[in-house]
Amino acid sequence: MKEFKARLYIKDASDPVAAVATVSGGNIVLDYGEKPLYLPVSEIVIKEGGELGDRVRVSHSSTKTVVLFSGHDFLDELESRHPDLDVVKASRVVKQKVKHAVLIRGSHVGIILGVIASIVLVFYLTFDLWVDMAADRVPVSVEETIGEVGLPKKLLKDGKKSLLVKRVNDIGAKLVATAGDSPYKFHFYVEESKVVNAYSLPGGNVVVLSKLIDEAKSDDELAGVLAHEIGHVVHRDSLRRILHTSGLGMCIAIVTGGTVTNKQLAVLIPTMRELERLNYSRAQEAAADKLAVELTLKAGYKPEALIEFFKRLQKEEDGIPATALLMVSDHPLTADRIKAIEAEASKQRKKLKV
Amino acid sequence: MNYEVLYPGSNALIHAELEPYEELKAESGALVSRTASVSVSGSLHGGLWRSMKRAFLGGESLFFQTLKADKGAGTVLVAPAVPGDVKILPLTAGQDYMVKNGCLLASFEDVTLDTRMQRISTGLFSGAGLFVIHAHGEGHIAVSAFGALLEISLSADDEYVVDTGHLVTWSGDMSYRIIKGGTTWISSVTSGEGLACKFQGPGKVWIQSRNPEAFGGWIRKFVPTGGGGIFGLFS
Repeated sequence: MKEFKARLYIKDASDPVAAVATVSGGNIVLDYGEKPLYLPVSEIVIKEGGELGDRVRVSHSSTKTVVLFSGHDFLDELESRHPDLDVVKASRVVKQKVKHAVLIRGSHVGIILGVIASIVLVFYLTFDLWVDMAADRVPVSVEETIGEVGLPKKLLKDGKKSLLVKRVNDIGAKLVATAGDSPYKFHFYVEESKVVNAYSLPGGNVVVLSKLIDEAKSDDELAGVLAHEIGHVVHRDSLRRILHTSGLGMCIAIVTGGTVTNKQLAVLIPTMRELERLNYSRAQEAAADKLAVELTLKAGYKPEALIEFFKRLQKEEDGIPATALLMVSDHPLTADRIKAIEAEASKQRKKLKV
Repeated sequence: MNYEVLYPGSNALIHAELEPYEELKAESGALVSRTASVSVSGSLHGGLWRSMKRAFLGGESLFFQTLKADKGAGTVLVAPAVPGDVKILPLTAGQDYMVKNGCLLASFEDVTLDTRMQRISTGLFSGAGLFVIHAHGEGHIAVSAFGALLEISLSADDEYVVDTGHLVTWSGDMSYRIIKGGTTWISSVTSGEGLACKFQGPGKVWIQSRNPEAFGGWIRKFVPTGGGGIFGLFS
């Protein structure tokens, strides 16, 4: 006869006594040092016990007795002795649960990891939303500071090639004058470079590379590029790119207003240096184009000149080294974009009656 | 070995008298004083794997210190970090206890300490943590509480509800689950009770009279915040 160690809770006891259990004559016999206790197998209820579910709990309601066994071995014995009893048949489910309690917990670990992965995925998928929310919370004064930090060191001063600088500033000033009320103070700079490009920094600094001015055949073309960059500033596109590059943590920190250390902010600095290489989304380019059309028209320039400029650059591609064509490769002028600019131009012409 | 709780209540601590070569295990950093005959050594109680599990999953210290009277009989005093009561619980008749993280102050004689993972619901919402300390074997353990430590005895048919955050220790034979604190979900929220733990007897559950998290929340109201947010660098 097999013996099993058990913890016996008799009647109203909340502390157990140690007992030895055997199965004999249709009863569970519990020997605990006094007169043995007999629990008829047909009257017992079997469940898994403990919060962990790793033990067998046998209860007998009429005597208010509860017996607990560590592990599932006792159920094996019960099954071999009384395989036909309903209570024993029903206990097979309990046996499986007790037997696999550790595995079941293991699967819970899997569930936890799954939940964590899902949360990460949700944040990843809503990244752009967080960037937008964070961008809305950054004051213009902060944008201006970022814009100052991001300015290149080798800017052409008024004295050197002053005509280039003056030309850009004159066109820029005309465009800004038509822009109406804006929280931004625009500054236009020329950077010596053999690359055809222009870019804007948060807060209103617009940088035009000298090669682009060389390539532009008219003020209309240059105005188109400048107005496009003004669009990026007004729409806070470069700020969004910086926030995007600096990561989700930074955006969430800004949105929730939590403490962000200077060390964390320092990660923005290299991003600012790379600003001219950051790509904008199609929607951002389209929005900047739209504003460019409006500004150039209002300032008396031809908005279609932007299209001409891009087309010419694309045609001339063979003659210009690939690195010199950042403007074209970063801002590809697709058929859709050309159509949209033309449509916007005719719409604005009717509206402004020019 | 004799041991007792001195100054029961908020300033409780354990006083143990050790015969030559007797030893006890105490939570790392809990030693208050000792006679010179008692040596202190850090030990990975239960081996490296068990200690790692306990440290990383259970929040207990990696090292339990062993206090051993290896130069003759001596005495030691051991105290918890928080103000509150300490009780010594017997591990007899093969019973075992689940102890909330950080509430296990010391163990005496042949007690084994493991880490066990609770059910997701109880782990996340009981306030006892997803992983709890599983104390089993033969001997005694000392548990510490924040505030007073109350013993609730449940017989076979009894059910008992404890607010989350007040759990300290419970018999391993008892099962419990998370329920809403009020009669409806709305009353649970409006009454401020939220969730609670419902225990099923037979067995015992020990609860602490103060909720450490609620106390922390109360303290935070009086702590000045650092200031200088994200835009401090630029302003």
